[in-house]
Amino acid sequence: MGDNLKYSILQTVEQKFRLGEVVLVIFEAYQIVGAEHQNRVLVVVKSGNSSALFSFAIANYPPINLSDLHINAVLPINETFIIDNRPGSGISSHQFQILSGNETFTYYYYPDHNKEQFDKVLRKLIQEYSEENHGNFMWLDAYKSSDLSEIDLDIATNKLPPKNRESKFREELERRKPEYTIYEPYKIFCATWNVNLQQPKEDLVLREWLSTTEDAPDIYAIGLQEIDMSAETIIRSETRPDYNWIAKILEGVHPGDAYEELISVRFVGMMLTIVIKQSLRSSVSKITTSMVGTGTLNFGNKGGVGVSLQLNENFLCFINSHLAAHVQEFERRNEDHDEILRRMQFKDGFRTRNILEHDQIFWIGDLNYRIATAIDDGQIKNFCEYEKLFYLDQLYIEHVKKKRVFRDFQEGKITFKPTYKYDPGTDEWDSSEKNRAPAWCDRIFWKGQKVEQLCYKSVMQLRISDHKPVYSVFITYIMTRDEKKFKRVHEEVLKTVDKYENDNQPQMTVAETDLDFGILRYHEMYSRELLVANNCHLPVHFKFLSKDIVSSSVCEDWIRISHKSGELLTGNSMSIRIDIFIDESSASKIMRRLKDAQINVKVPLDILVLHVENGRDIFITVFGEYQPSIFGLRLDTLMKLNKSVLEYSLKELMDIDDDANNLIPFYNNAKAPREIYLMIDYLYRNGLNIPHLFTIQRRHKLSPRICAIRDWLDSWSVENFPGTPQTAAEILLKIFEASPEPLVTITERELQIYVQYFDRCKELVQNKMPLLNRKIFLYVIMFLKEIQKNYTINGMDDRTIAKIFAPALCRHQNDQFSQKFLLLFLSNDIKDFARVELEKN
Amino acid sequence: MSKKTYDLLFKLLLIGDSGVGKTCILFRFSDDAFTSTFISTIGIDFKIKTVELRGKKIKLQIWDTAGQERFHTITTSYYRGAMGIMLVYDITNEKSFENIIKWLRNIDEHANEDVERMILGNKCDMTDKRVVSKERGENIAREYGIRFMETSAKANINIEKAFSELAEAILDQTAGKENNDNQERVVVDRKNQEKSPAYSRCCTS
Ligand SMILES: Nc1nc2c(ncn2[C@@H]2O[C@H](COP(=O)(O)OP(=O)(O)O)[C@@H](O)[C@H]2O)c(=O)[nH]1
Ligand SMILES: [Mg+2]
Repeated sequence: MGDNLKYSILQTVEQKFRLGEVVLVIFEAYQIVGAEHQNRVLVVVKSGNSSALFSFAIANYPPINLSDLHINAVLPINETFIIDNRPGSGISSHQFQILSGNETFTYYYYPDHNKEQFDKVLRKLIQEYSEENHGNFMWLDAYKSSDLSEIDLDIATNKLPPKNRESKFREELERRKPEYTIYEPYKIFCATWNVNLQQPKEDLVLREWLSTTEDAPDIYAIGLQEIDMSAETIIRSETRPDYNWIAKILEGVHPGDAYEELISVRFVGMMLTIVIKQSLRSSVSKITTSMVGTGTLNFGNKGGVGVSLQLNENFLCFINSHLAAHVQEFERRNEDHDEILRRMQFKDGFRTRNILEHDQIFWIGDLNYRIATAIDDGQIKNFCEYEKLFYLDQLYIEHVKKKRVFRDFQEGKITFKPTYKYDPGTDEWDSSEKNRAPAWCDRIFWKGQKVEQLCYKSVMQLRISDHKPVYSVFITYIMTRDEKKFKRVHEEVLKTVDKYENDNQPQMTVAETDLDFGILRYHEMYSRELLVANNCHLPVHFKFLSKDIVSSSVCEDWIRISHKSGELLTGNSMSIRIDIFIDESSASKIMRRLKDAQINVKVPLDILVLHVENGRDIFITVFGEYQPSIFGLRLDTLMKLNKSVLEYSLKELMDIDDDANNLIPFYNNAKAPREIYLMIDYLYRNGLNIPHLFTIQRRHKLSPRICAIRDWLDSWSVENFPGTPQTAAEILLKIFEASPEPLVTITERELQIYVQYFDRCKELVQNKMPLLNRKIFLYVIMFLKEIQKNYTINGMDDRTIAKIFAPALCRHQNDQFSQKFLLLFLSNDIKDFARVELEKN
Repeated sequence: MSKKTYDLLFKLLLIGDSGVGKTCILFRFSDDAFTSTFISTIGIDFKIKTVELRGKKIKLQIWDTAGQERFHTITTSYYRGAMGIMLVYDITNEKSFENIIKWLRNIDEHANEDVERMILGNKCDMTDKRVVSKERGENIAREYGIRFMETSAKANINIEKAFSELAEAILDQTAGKENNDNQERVVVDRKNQEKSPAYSRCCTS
């Protein structure tokens, strides 16, 4: 490869890694996946004492943006890592295999690519590992995060809700944090001093303690103990910072920069003061304090005070504590330590953070651990080689040996004399009556990534107290956002999130979007199964939507859908049954719908909208042809047919139906349509004495004979009537119900006004009903009167008859008036009225 | 830099005869890819894409409609919530161009009054099969006072530009409205992510 190109790839690759992770070599190779050659960049990276081989897939060649490279394998160079350069089995001599864990990866490369350097580096690293035989591979964890497009089984099976866009966004931004964070070094100066109740006198100069570094530290954390232990202070649980000391501290800090007090927290004798460079003030936020008293009754003569703060992207915690005193009380000290760890909480709004929830923690103070008295006190005082005593230090025993306290905290090597107990004003050991043994009471611990201790010292020449001050300087690397890189990653993450949202739309597949029902006939049930499946990796909720705002129905009323809504889990399918049944109320509608259908041009019966929640809508078109029947035609039309209905096309029938002005003559001068006449005539002969000929429940509504009678009527059959009196009665009602308009064309309102008066009702019949309707009406009433006459045999009284016929003949919203109206005609003598009307032409 | 994923949500709609390339245009814009093997859309589909305009992150929710004749009545019910509509014709198909008038009428009847419109003459890569000249496209656009562009989903010509101009026009309108104290109507509430075609979702179950 060209050197320039290789260099630019290297630059892109390097951006993928974090500070301290060094790219040693890159090598371009490819893998064969299926029939495809896929380019790879192999990258060898070292971090600390461990190294790994990264294999990147390349989305765009040459890779320029971070998003052009995707990790496809991370192989730690450990005892399982083997590179096998033996020539491959015939495919190519330019191939090699890498064995790692239990897996084998085969790579190919281009003959003109020099592999020597790559091999050499790998060999060296393998060698190094085999010599040391250990390494910390934790840094690799950051690169093992999951792929976005991976299927989440818990989501697919509805155990967890799908992630929303915002949370995916935050997650992705967090995952890619290494790409836009850099680590910036900060110098932190931690100091502790038990001042033994001394006030800072004017001549006290703290420079010797606080200004002992060459460069000015960025942050000071200064802990004092025993600034005041008077009974009053203890009883008041004094929390007001002591500004005499703070002023003294500010005088004592490094003169090489401008500082300010960030915050101080005091609890009785303990005070922790954080001082920072003024230039850093804007980088620090979320400053909170906390205090824990552990002494008798938690009064606060012992315990800890702490400060939590955010510096750029890291949370830092400083604790100053003063633990229980006396040689034998080390277990109390351990308990004080536990209590501080457990009870110290930093509240920032709704968020509470405990000590361990910080990236870097500095714990300082008069921890009060002594030297276990294996040798007598006098001897300790005279001992010169203090480092030999160190293994007798109680804190060393509790911390390092027993791991009882300060677990996971570190302490630097102590190279100074015990800091306790001196005769004030001197560097001499305690000569008082108490004759205390020397001890390293004053200590500094830390915990966290990327912290390096630069020094750990005591200061002999500050002599006002019986303790000597201690300090330690650290370099910490603070995570900081690189705004330029962040902006780029942010944009890329937005794209990823868009893609995630698009890819994670719930999707449903339907086997067909056209459902053809073929020929449909009146009063027969037709069904089709619509197979739907969920092939996406999210649960799917679906429902059929209504197409207009006015009506809420999702389909025409002759269609029934078995599941108007439902849920489908990933991989599942179901069949939705669509039924069509053309009954009295829909027969005329479907004929009107299809009247423009031509041969070979299908007109949709309906379009169903199948909506997937949070996803797309699918249109399902229902097709079918209708075989016309006499049901659903106007009564006039029935009069005009001069041959069987089967001999007409739908279009012709609709043209006749539309002939409102009766330009087409009636076929003969019968008083009623043939079909009505046939039913009534049959019933006159066979039905008058039949009990329950008509029933309110319409018991014969769905009788199979209905279709036989339909065919007999439609075909103008000369065969014997295929029905029974009961089914003939049902057909009579159906003919009236199916016709597009009601037989009685008097409105509900008119009946409401006049239904008390029979004469008025007769006038309404005369004036408001067309002649044909009038004739049919009276014809039917005459017939019903005959039925009613046989009441004692057939049980059909006038009320029952009115109840059954009123809805069929009048179709009013409320049958109350139409029933009264029918009753009038059933109970009054109408012979003369009927004769006159039926004679009319 | 804020951590929310968008400031505004604009709903856009693609309409036009079947086969003019609506689905391809959307796919090019959202996935930056082109496939010639789409099954024609039988329903309503949408994709989202976030763009940045004048420092604002705008989430575009783009609806792709079925163009077949028999779905016309149904698809008009999706016009109402749209803030921008792309009318697409195919420069190699005279009929699809003539139908633009019909589609414009459809918009007048069913869409919001202040909807931003744009006409796209798609497939402009097919120069040898062209039957509708660019001038005719420009003329009709001028006549109706609408933006116009020739595009190719296949060759990736003007696709990005078309969407960003339409979004910008909506943004202009939004800004204008804001000054007129009419904020709530236009600035989409970020929480209200549920898309809302005219279909009454509440009453079905
Ligand atoms: N040459 C060319 N073909 C296109 C272009 N856009 C779409 N097509 C083709 O036109 C056909 C219909 O496209 P499609 O997006 O499904 O149209 P839609 O019905 O409007 O959604 C497909 O075969 C596409 O490959 C384009 O810009 N150039
Ligand atoms: Mg399409």
